[in-house]
Amino acid sequence: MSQFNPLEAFNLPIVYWQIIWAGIIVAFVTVFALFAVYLERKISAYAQDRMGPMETGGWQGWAQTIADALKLLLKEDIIPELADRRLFKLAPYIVFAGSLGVMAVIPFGVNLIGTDLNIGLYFILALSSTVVIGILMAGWASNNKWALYGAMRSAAQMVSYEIPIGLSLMLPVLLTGSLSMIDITNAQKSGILADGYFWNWYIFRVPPFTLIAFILYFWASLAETNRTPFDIPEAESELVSGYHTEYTGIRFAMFFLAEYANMFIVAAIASVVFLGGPLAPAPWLNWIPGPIWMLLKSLVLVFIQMWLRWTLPRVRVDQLMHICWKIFLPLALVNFIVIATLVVLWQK
Amino acid sequence: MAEMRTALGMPITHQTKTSKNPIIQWILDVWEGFYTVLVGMGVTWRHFFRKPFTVQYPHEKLNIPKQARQRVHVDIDLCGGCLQCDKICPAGIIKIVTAKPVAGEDLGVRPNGKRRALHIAEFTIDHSKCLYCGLCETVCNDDAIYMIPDFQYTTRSLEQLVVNYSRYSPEERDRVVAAAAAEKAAKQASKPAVPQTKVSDPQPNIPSPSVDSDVFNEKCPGPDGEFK
Amino acid sequence: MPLQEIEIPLGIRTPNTDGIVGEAMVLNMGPQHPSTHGVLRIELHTDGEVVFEAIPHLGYLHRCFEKICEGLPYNQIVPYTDRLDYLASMNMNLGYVLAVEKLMNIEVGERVQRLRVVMAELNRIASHLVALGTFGLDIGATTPFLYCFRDREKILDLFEKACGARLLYNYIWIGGLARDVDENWINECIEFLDYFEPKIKEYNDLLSFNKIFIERTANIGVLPPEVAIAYGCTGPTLRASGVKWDLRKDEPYSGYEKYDFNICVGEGEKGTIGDCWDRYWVRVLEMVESVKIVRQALDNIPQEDISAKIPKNFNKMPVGDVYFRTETPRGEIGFYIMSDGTKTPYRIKVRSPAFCNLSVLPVLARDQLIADLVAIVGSIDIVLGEVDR
Ligand code: SF4
Ligand code: SF4
Repeated sequence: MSQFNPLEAFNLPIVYWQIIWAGIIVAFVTVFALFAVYLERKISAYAQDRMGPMETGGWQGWAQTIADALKLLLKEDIIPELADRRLFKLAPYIVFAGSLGVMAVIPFGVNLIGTDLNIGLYFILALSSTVVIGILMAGWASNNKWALYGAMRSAAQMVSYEIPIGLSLMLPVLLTGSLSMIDITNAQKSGILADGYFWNWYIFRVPPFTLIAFILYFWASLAETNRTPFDIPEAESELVSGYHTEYTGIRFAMFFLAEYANMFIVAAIASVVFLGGPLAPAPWLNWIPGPIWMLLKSLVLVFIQMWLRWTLPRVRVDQLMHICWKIFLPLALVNFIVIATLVVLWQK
Repeated sequence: MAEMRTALGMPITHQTKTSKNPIIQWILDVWEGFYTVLVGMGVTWRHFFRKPFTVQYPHEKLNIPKQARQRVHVDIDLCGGCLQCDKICPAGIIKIVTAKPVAGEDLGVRPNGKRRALHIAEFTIDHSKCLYCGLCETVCNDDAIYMIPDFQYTTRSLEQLVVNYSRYSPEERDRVVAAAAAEKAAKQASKPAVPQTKVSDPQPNIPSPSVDSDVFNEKCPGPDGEFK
Repeated sequence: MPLQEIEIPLGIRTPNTDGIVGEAMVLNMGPQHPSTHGVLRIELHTDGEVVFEAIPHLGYLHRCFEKICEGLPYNQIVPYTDRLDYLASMNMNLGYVLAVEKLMNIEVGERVQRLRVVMAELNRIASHLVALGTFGLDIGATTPFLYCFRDREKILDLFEKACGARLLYNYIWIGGLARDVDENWINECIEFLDYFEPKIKEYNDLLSFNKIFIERTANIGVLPPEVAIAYGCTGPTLRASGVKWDLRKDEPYSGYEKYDFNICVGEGEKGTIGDCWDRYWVRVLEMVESVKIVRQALDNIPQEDISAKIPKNFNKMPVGDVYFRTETPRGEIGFYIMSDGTKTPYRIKVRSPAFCNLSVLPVLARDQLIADLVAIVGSIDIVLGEVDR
C-alpha cells in the first residue's frame, strides 16, 4: 500500500494531479481545523474537570464546531472605519495561503505528495516565513493599538524562532544529504540496526542529539504557531486578542483556520523529519497504510501541543527572546556542530 | 513552617538550587524549567481521566437546598396584611394595599386559623429589584412571605417580573378601597375616628430627594431655552 | 521613606532615549479589557512595550453605597454591605455588624462569635481562590482558574446550605446570625477542609512553582514596605512586603485572639520581598492558616440561641460615632458610623482596602512592560465593587 503511486495508477498528467491534490489539501485542512478545534475544546475541558461541548449534534456535541463555523460565515463582516481597507482585506489571505502552501510538499504516503521538490524543507521554511507578513499587515491595517502590539510581537517572535527551527531541521538534512521530504522519509527506512523498525527514525538515530533537536524543534514550533506558552501575539489577557482583534466573521475564521492548519503543519513536519512520517514503526505493521501512520503521528504531536497549552502560563515577550537566543539557539548550534562533525567523519 | 512547606510541595531551601558558575546555573535553570513543565503536565494528565466536576445543566440539576433564597414567594391566603415585610424591605419593592371590610362583612378565617381582618387588595412585588436578602421572610409572623429555591423565572421584559400576588383584580381592589374609604368618611362625618385604611407608600424607605417641583421648574430652562 | 520623598507621577512624561524625543502612545486599558478584573480603566502611557505611566480611572461601578445607607435603618444596610466586596460578603457583613455592635454595646455569645469566624475564614479561602485563579489567568494559565473555581464552588455550597445564598449572604446580623447551622453542616464543613488541604499542593504543582510562572512574577512589581505603608496598603499586599500586620492578631475581634495561627509575610523566596510572587504566595499560605482557624473554631462549638441578642428595633440608638476595622481578604476594611439617635445612621464612611491598594498601582507600574502591568494588577487583587462602592 505504501508503494502506491497515484501518478502511475491513474496515468494522469502531473498538472491534473496537482490540481486534484490542492483540492484535497484545502478540504483536508478545513476538516482538520474543525476537528482540531473540537479536540482542543474537549482536551481543555477534560484537563479542567469539565465536559466541553455536549449538546450540538447529539453524541458528545460533535457538531459544535461545524455550527460555530457556520455562525462565523454568516456573521457581518465589519471593517473598522479608519482601517486600511485594502491591507485589512488582504491580510487573512496571505496568512492562509502561506500556511496552506506548505502542505504541498508534505508527504502523506511514501509517494503521496503534492510535489516532491528537491528543496522541500527549504521551501517549507521559506513559505512559512511569509505568514509573518500577513500578520504584520493585519495588525497594522486594523488601526488598533492592541492589534499593532500583537503584530509587532509576532514579527519579532516568528523571525527569531526560525533560526532554532532551521538549525534543528538541518540535522536530518545532514544525515540524509538531501532536502527532499521524500528522500528524508526513505532514509529513515534503514540504518545500522535491522531495517523497517522505529529505531531507524531520525529521532533515535544519533542519541541524544537528534532527540534534543526534536524537542527543540517542537518547542520552537510552538512559538512559530503562536501557541501557549509562546502565544504572546494574541495573549488575550494582555492584548485582548492580538493582531486579529478587529477581525470578524469569515476573515476571523481564516486566521483561525490558518492557526490550526499551522499546528498540523508543524506536527506533520516533525513527524516526517524525525518520526519517519508514513513509515510504520515495525515491519509487521506495514499493512496499515502510510497516510494513517502519518496522521496518527501528527495527531499525537497536536495533542501534546494542546496539552501544553492547557497546562502552562505564558512567557513574557523579553523572556521569549531570552529563551530563543540564550537557550534554544546555543543548544541547536552545539547539536548542529556535533552532527556535522560526525557526518564528515563517517563519510571519511 | 518547614513542614508546611514540604506539605505544600515547596522545596525547603529558598532557591531551588543555585550555582556560582554561570554555565551550571544555566543548565540548572533549563532543567528546572523543563522539570516543572513536566510536573504541571502530570497534574493535567491525571485530570484527563477524572470524572468531570460540572453537570449538564438542563438535563441534570444539582441539589438546591430547600432553604436556598432564589425567589420571594407569597402565600396570599396566609397574609394578614400587617405590612411588616413592606417596612423591612431594603429595596422597597413590596407594595401592599389593604382595606378594612365594611361593617357586617366577614372575610373568613385564614388557613392558619387566624381571622382575616383586612382585604389584601394588592400585594405587588417587583422581583427585578429584589436583593434576595430574605429580611421579609424573617419578619413575617404568619409565614406568608418566604424565599423558595426556584431560580428559573426569566421573562422577556422587566414588567413581567412585577407580580401581583393578591387574589383581587384591579376593579375589585378599587371597589374595596373605595368602600372602605366611603365608610371611613361616613364615620368621620359622625365622629373623628382612627384611620382605617392604610395604603402603603410604594417606596417608603428610600428617601426621595425633597425637590420642590415649583422651584425646580422655575430654575429649569424650558424647551426653547428661556426661563419659564 | 517618608511620603514626600516618594515620587508621585504627575502629568505625562515623554520618553527620551539618547536625545531622541519620541511621542508617548496613550493606550486605554479597560473598562472592557479581559484582565482589569471588572470595570477598571487604566490609562497607559507607553513607549513600545514599556509603560512609563499608568493612571487608574475609577467610578464605573459607583452605586452610592454611603448615600443609600443614610436612608436605611441599621439592619437593612447589611444586605447592601454584601455588595461592596462581593467575593467576600461575609467579611463585609462582619465589619459593618461589629461596628454597629460597638455603637450599641452588644456582646454576642460564643457560638455566634465562632460561627462568624468560620464564615469569615471560609469566605477568605473562597476569595483567595478567586484571586489565585484570576492571577493565573492574567499570566496566561487557564487551568488553575478552573480548579480554583471548582473548590470555591464547594465553599459556596456550604454557604448555601447555611444561609440560603451563594454570593450575597446577608448572614451576619447585628447581634447574631440569620440562621443557625446544624451538626450536619459542621461535619460537611470539616469534610471540605479535609478535601481542600491536599488540593493546595495541586495548585502549587501546576502554578506556584512552575518556572514560567516564577519568571513572570518574581522580581516584578516590587513594593517596598515603606511605600506600602505610605500608600495605606493593607492585607496580603502589605504583608507580602514583609510587614507583619494583621488585624486578626494585632487588634483581635470576634474572638480571634483564641485561635492559633500565623501571620504570613512575604520572604522574597523566589525574588525580592514584595514582588508579585510574594503577594501570590502569601495568599496561598493564608488559605492554609484559614483552614487551621476554621478547624479550631468548629472544635467543640457550644450550643446557644444565636438570635438572642438581635435588637428588636433601632429607634433608640446611642448618639455618637464609631470606627471599627476588620481584616478582609483584601485588607483592612473600616466602617465609620455617625449616629444621631434616629434609626438611620447620619453618615457611613467606608475605608475600603482595595481602593487603597489600587492607589499604589501608578508607583508599581512605572517603567514596567505591559505584560508585567497585567501581573501587577492581578497580584494586588482588586474588587471593583469595593473600590467604587
Ligand atoms: S428578599 Fe429582601 S429585597 Fe427581596 S422582597 Fe424580601 S426584603 Fe425585599
Ligand atoms: S409580613 Fe407577612 S403577614 Fe405581614 S403583610 Fe407581609 S406577608 Fe403579609
